[in-house]
Amino acid sequence: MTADVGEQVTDADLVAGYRRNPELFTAVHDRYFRDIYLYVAGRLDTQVAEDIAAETFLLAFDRRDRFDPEQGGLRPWLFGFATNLVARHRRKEARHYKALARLDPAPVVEGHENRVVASVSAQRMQPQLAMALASLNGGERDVLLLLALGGLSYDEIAQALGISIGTVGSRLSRARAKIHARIDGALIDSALKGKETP
Amino acid sequence: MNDLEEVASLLAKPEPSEEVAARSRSRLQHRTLGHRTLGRGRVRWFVPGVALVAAGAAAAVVIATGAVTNGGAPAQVIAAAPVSGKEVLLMAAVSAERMPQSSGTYWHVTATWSQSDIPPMESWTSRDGKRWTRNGPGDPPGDVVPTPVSLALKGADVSFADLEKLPTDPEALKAWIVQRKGNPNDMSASEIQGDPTLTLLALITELPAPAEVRSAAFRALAATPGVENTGAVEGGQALRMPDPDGEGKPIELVVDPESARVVRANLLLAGDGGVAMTDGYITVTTDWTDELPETPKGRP
Repeated sequence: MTADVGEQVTDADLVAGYRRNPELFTAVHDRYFRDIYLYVAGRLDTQVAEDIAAETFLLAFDRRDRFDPEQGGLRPWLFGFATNLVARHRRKEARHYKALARLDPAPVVEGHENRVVASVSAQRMQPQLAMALASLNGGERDVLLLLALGGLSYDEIAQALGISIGTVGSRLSRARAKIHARIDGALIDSALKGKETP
Repeated sequence: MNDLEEVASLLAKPEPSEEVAARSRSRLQHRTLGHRTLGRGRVRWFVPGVALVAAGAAAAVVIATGAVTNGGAPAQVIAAAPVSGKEVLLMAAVSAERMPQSSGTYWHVTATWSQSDIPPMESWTSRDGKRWTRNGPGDPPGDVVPTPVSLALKGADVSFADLEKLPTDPEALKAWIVQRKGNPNDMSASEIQGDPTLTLLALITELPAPAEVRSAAFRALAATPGVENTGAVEGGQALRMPDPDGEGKPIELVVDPESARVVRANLLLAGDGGVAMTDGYITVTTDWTDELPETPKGRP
């Protein structure tokens, strides 16, 4: 995700660096701040994200001795701290999704049933999607958003949350099922409305 | 439909600005240097810079004109060196009481970092608590912009009226501070543990506390063990005291016993509850003014 000019610095290099000199932990920040910030900003807002992203690196720095490169990467380790910090803001997060759901979708173009269905584009579905996110439980949302926003793999999510890969899979399928149920329902509603339109 | 991409695009936010990343990095850097970086909520800075060597331990005689009175005419005091840290703070306490009442619409504070490219940070606070800042963290450079962050003391918002009501006896003031409840996330470790030192410093640095309260705060600090005077420097006396948070370097502050102001410090207790630390010094000036520079979109 980060453009390293010239040589590829690995997590192991970064770890070796800050073990030698704790001040070099800033290199971990330089590499991962953006990703952590965007993940938290997506779930909460940019103002809180600044604080939580900063706090993530402070927490990680304080616990740096517990990080074992054998057990996984720095990225999921950091996303784990960020996710825990986001969890303190569950109500704010829910409000954020509800606010997104209230944003006016593009008006439905009147016409054939087919055209109506076709216009049920990503944008049209965003309020439904936002409401679906608000309806997920914390665990489902963590898994879904580490995947969708953080771009973590299943085993990275397992590492970040300290759960098994099996649990990652089952939480994710429940989350997606809830989203699809809500969006499919909305699609049907729109299609019916389209039929009624003369 | 790829639901994951939809989710990602629904929640996508703009990239963090360089300032945002730099502020976060500064907090981390500060932590790595062994200081305690305070919690969330209010902005804390750490500005690296070459440490200033506390100038001239050479001052043999301190002349504080009119700093001490017996309730009568100002007396000229010539104190034989060395004046102790405690004495400097007591002189400031006496001067504070004698300060004439100032008037103005806005309490204006300027904090300037030594050896740094950061432009001076300014704030204006009206008596009803509305605030504006210039060159604060995240502000558009050079513009005076309204800020929702109010004045704060020990992790909780504080109004002019609150400050007016503070105890004017040093012991009562300390007791009030110990009892005050605030958000632990906006307090330093020592404040959470009930040590009044940093809160007292906040009262004498940027906050518009009334003269009697400032005087009480100076007296209370004078009673704090471990305050040393390292000598006269430009603008006042360089005091050194242990950091009550216990981890970092000692707190160094230059106090002008005559004007009863903290002229500069390596640890700035900002009026909005923020804490700034630097290897150099942060110079502070405070004044009342009727002028609020134009905000970009007119006055809100």
